[in-house]
Amino acid sequence: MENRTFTSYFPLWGLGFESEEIGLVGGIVLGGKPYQEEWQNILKSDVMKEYAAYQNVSLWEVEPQFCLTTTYRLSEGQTLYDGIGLYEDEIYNQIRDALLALRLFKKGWIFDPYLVEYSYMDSSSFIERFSGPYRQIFIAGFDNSFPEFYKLHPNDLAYSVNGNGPLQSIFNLISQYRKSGGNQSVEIAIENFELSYALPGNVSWEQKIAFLFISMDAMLGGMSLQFSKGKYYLRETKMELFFRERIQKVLVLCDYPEAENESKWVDSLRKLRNSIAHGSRSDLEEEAKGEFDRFQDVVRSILKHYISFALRHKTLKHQIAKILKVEPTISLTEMYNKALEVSCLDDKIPDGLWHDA
Amino acid sequence: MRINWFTHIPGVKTDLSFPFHFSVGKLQLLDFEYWQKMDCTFPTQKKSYEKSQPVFFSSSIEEFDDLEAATAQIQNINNHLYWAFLLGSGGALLPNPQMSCTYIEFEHGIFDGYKKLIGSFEREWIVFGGSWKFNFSEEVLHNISVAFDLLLSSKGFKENHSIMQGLRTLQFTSNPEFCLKKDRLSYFNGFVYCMAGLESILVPLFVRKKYGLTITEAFGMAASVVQSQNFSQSKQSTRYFSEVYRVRSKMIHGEASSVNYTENVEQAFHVIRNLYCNTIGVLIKLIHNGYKIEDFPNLLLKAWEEESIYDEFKNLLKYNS
Repeated sequence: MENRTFTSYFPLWGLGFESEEIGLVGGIVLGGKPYQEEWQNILKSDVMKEYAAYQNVSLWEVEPQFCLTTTYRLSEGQTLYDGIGLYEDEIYNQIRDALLALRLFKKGWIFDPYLVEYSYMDSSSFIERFSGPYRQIFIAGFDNSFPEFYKLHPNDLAYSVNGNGPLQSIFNLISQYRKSGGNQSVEIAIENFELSYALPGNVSWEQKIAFLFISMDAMLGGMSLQFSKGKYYLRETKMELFFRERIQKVLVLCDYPEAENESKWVDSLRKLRNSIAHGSRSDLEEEAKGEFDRFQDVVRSILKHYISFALRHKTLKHQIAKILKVEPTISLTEMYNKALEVSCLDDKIPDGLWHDA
Repeated sequence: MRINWFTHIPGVKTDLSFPFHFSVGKLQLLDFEYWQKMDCTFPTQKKSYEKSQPVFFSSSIEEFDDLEAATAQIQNINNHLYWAFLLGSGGALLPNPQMSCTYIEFEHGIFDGYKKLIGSFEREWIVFGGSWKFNFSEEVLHNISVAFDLLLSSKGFKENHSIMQGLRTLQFTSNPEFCLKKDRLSYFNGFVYCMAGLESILVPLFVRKKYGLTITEAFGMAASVVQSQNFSQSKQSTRYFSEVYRVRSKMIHGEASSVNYTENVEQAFHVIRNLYCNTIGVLIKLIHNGYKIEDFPNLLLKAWEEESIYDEFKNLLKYNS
């Protein structure tokens, strides 16, 4: 019987990948550059012809771009459209998680391929293309107005489904978190972290950095505690340590370089944050742009740590609450921050708080 | 020199006959051949272009010798036009026209030519129609025209943080990065951001404390004053707006989320976005008519309580251009 499959292609335009290797990003998502012939089939759209003309090259000379791909088997009698209908939601979830894993893995700008163009091709090279609102974004090439693009090394990819590559580990963490049912504060943190990748020019730097502040707030409960009757609270939970000490602790736990200096620097951003919230200065755009990359990198690290804690919280809420001497019903954000506080105040981190004892 | 310009308005279509005149400029369709003369790309895509029926705003300015200064003025008028589209349509998810294309046609003796301002959509939404479109009725276009006049003639609103923050929020929440998930419009983030902006304008903490109200109660009261046509209607709709506020609380507590998405979120999004547009419109009119808007949240709650103040408030909104 004929072994028929269909493959989805999600080009990540501009991503730097100097290799012919094809490896696993995570789950069933592969990453690599298509073969020239595959790429030609993907390219043959009116927009690509325009692109080639603009670049003054033939279609054959357009260099293959790094793509995220998934492949599914088609049963006898199933068409490409049947396959798309059956698997498009699953593919969307896989690609969404692969994109988040890449963004959490390291710095560099990647645009969501669903906003550009993607396609499905069956083993007989029959192809169906889907265009997003920014399908033509690459036509004029990428000038200095674009942020620094993402760079991926072949060693970042995994070469076995049971492997333990750094990118694959992050993908697995996200998958497990999704399977656990999710948490609203994590969702807000993820959504806003991803919104910070909005194309500059369409969204101001002021707004892009505001997304990062919102992401961080969802995890750390804001930069200030509430003061009531001589005591400090994060929502309903009594706290002893302020924002700067807690963020320093997360960065230490993440092995972030120069955690103390970076925590002081993040704490100093509250001025910028308040100015953005109150619109009190006219020069915010330049300042926000200047601080953006460094701050995004800090939020990236905290977010990975927070997702990991959220997953642990899902199954070990009662045990963690017991260690922290809090009610298990408090929110994830409160429990996370209390855990950071306890880790700060206690030289020896209690067994079972961040890792299995 | 005389300068004409054509700005593509992405996401807009109408069954009305063109042109549709504003007090400044008009909306029109352009023949493929005319567009080709200005752009010279996609020469083989006449069919796609004609199917797409891109709507352009066109206008002209005279006696400008400096093309750079003229371009800045065009961009300024285009910004006002975009805000008018957002406010007049009740907050339709329209991407900024700057993301599509503007063609500036100048005639200066023998040096005739075109300057192209190409945004990040390139020609996608012109030639192939883009990812979504709203069909605007005559009534909506009329509202847009009124909003455009108000914005062009009003002074001082750009110095007001709440208004500009509101316009920016309506703007960035209309970006594809923000509102498009896969191939569907998503309303979750837009609702959260618009609600946060509205809360700070309508029911800031100081006013809730002063009246001893919960945020849900205060929001219902303030929103019903903005949206109602008369005093008794404001009383009737208070509970409705408080219920909409509760959708926000459900989101915060994870009962309705982008994962666990409900139709309520979509409905609440449209209600809140419309309210946001009307609130910004009210603030612009108040500033235009010389009212100090720092007292706006107080005024709303007083207007909810007393019919005479309600009537006074609605009188303040009469717009005299």
